[in-house]
Amino acid sequence: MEDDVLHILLTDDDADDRLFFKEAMEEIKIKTVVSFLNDGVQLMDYLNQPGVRLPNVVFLDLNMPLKNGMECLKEIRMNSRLSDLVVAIYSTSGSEKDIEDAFVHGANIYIKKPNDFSKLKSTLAQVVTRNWHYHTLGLKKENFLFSFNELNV
Amino acid sequence: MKIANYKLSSLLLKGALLVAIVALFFVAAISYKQIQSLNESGKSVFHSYEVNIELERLNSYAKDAESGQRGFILTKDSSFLKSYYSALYKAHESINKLKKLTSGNFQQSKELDNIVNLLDLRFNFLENVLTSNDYKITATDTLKGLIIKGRELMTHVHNHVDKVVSNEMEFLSLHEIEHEKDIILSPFSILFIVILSMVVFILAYYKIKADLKRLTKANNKLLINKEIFEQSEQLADMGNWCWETETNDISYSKNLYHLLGCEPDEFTPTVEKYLTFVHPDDRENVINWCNDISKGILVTSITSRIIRKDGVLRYFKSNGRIINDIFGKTFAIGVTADITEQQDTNRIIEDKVAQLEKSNKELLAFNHIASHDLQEPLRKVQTFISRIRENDFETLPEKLKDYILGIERASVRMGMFIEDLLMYSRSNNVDKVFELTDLNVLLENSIQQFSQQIEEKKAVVKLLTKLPTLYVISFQIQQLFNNLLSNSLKYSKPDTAPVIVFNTKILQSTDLPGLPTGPYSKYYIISISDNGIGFEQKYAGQIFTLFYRLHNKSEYSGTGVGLAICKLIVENHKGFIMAEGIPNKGTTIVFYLPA
Repeated sequence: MEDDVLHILLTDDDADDRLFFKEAMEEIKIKTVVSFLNDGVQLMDYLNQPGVRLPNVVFLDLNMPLKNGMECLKEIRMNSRLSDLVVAIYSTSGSEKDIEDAFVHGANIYIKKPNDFSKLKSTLAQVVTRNWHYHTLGLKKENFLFSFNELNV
Repeated sequence: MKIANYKLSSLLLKGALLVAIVALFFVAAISYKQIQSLNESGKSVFHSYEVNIELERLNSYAKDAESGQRGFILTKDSSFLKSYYSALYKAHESINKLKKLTSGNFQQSKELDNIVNLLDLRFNFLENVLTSNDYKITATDTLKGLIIKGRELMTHVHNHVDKVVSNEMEFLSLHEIEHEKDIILSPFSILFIVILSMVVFILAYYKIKADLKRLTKANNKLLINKEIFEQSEQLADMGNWCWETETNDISYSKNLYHLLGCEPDEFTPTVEKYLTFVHPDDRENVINWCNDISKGILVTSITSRIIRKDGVLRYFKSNGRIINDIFGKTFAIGVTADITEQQDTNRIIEDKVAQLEKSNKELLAFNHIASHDLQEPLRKVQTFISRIRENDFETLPEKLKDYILGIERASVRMGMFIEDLLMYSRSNNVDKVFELTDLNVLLENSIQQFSQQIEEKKAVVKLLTKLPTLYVISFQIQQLFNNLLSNSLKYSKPDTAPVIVFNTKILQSTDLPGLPTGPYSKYYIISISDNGIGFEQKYAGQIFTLFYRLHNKSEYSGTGVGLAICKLIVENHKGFIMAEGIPNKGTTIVFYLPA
């Protein structure tokens, strides 16, 4: 039965955001195990443990102390063991530069943190249940930034 | 005037002078030789005549002696004997003289010897006659015979004398021929040479005169140029110096003295004297610089501090280089400028640039703050409010509900401000990539984007003429159309369906009165007119100012950023934007883009 449960990992230094994420995930009717890390150093240490069970999706904040999200993304994509890991950027920033950089360095999707709890819930539901193998094949710059219009698709 | 020209002229004059001198020397030498030869021929003529005269004399003395003898024989008067001896004496004298005269001529001396011999025979014969007369030889026949013989001898003498004379005449004519030979050049040629020399001298004179005239003109021009130069130096705070490196002679221009705070020629310029004006900390640099110049090393300009005579600190910038003049002398020539004002201005500009750079950095930092740090707490406030609204909102007392809704409205508005502000600063600090873009496509996108509102308000969007295809920053023009369309829809009259009309014209920049058109000759004029609430024309200038609003936020939502962004975008495209409004009739926004 373990395999039906989605393992989700959020790395974010902001406690409020971790709380919103946790509450939103709890309210989605999907079986998930959500773990939290506080910064990039913790994330890389965790992923680099030998024999660790890799999460189905890693949500990664960009603006973090010690090691920021973009550095983590680069390290993940350079590591052959982690190169297939699904990485969703989860940031307050909506700047063109951040979106562009994340795309170039191989993130799977870019989520600008919503300012409404119900939007947050639907976004997370969409993202965690997505068929990532299929989605990655058709990944383009145009559909890289997560938008709510996709809900209707 | 070119230097080479003068060199040629001087060479030409030297040549002419040399030719004239040589010609004159030649003429002088020829004349001397001819006078000499004339003299000699005169002498030989005189000599011939002397010989002839002497011979005639000898002839007559011989005759005198004969007639004396005859007289004595006939009369026995001893007085005849006296004249006979006197003639004999004179004849001997004459012979001696002739011997002297003909000593250089072998043929003539020989003839003379013949004559002398004949005369001697004649005189001996006379002596014999006389002796016989003394001893009373009176036989008439004998006497007659003697006299006849004497006459025959005399005839011989005459013949010889005639021969000598004719010889002498022959010599004379020979001399004449030789003299003719000596005159190689006729007097006419000499005259010609003299005239030629005179012509050369006259030409040389005119050439010198012309050169002098040119020199005077050049000098005059130099005088004017010097004055212009002095005035220019004064105006430009510049001076120049000329340093003869071998003799160490230095001359300053007038203004250089002025720049040092001195009167012209107040001191004798030397390197050492100049160094006394240089700030002590800069002296070594200046000394090294001077040394480099005097060695002929190419140097860059030097800036040094100078303490003027009145004690004021100035900044001097100097340039210098070794040159060789026409006479082969080596000079270091340089220009020195007082750049104190420039230095001060530069410092002010540098400060300003540094300030600008700093404020630009601050602006970028502010953008970062706005996009990240300011949005984050706002997003959380909004998320917390949405949590309350979702969960326990209905159980709250009415008053508290109102407060929560107030917080929500304020936070939404704050979000709008942050978004608009970000958009404004992005419009300003964007990489300006111009692409050839069909503006009709951009407008179509905008209409599409606002299709819902257009439908709701039953608005009509008209395009009178097609929009142009231009090199633009496409996403910015898209933004421009979005903002303008959004404004026309927003500020429509509540009871009237909006009619929004786009129009395009093309105009020469000369037909745009009062606009600083820059380098562009043609402009596209795109106007958007609506039938909305309009505005009073007196606000036309202000509505493009950031955060400027004409309406209360409860009537029309907005941040006052939209038109400010439009202005920025049009200015990024080197264009202009203007607004015309009539209250309750409508608004027309016109923007000009260079074609």
